[in-house]
Amino acid sequence: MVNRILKGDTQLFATVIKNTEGLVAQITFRLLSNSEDRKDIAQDIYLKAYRNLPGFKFQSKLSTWIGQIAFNTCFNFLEKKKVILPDNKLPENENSNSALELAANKLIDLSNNEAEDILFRSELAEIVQSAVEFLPPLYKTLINLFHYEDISYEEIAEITGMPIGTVKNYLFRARKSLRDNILVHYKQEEL
Amino acid sequence: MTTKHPSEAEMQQFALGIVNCTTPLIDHIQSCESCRVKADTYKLIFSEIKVQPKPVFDFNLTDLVMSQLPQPKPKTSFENIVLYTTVVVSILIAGFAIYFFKSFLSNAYTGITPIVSYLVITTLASLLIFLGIDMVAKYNRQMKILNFN
Repeated sequence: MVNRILKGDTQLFATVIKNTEGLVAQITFRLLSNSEDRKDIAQDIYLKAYRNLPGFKFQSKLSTWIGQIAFNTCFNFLEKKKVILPDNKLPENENSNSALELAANKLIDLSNNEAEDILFRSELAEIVQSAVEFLPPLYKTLINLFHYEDISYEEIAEITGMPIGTVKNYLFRARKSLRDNILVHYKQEEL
Repeated sequence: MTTKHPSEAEMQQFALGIVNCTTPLIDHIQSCESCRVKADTYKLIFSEIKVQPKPVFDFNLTDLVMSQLPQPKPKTSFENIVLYTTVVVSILIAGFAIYFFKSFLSNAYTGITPIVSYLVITTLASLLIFLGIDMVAKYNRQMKILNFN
């Protein structure tokens, strides 16, 4: 496909866009909050990909390569705008263990009651969604690439240009932050 | 079974799948109420992440990008003439070189000892086999990549 595009069959590039649009959306939505910026950057990503297609070495998946362009383009854009991808430290929750038990026990207790279980699940889905949104952009991106898109540590490392160890470490911290955010929410709800 | 509570990293590892977890760790988490609750919470969070709505662009990205791509230029007859001329000139130069230097070339072949000629043939054959294997491997890899899997 790449060779045919390079030989002048530009219409095939539309297939590349359709196949990789989801990944690009995942990266741009997590790193950029402004919809106008996303629109410009998404176009920029694919125009860059098209221009640099002769340099594609087939050493990675085409989707990973485009993901890498997407991540770098967003990152450069944020750098230009002086937006720092924070290495946020969330406030430590002293009562996290009790809140955690409360939340998990609630689920266990409700498992026998289907209607309440559905309600709890839908409430939890909203809480998890907002907790993910509350994460720093980099954590948000890594969490979604790994848990939502099912992308391996190795591929995430290629996309982000970070060593695998760093990806694993950031993901560990992102998951912990996410859990802490949810526990804070539950604690507030109970109060 | 270990009585020591697992670290946060081990807890996450367990929640991601018990493939990489040690048996004592699995036994501990399954028997310790507090650890089990922690692990279940992580599992719950991971499963909820998967059901989040997928981010979708509110515009047609394909149309926007495709309208900006440069149109392919058909090869002009002039480019074809240049290409064919280059090929013909290269063949002629090679032919003349072989014709004028054939006596030197035959001397070069007869002048070398059999051991050297065997060495050259073996080296060339090895190189060709290596390049052939590499070409097949590269082709298979490229085909796999282009499947978007």
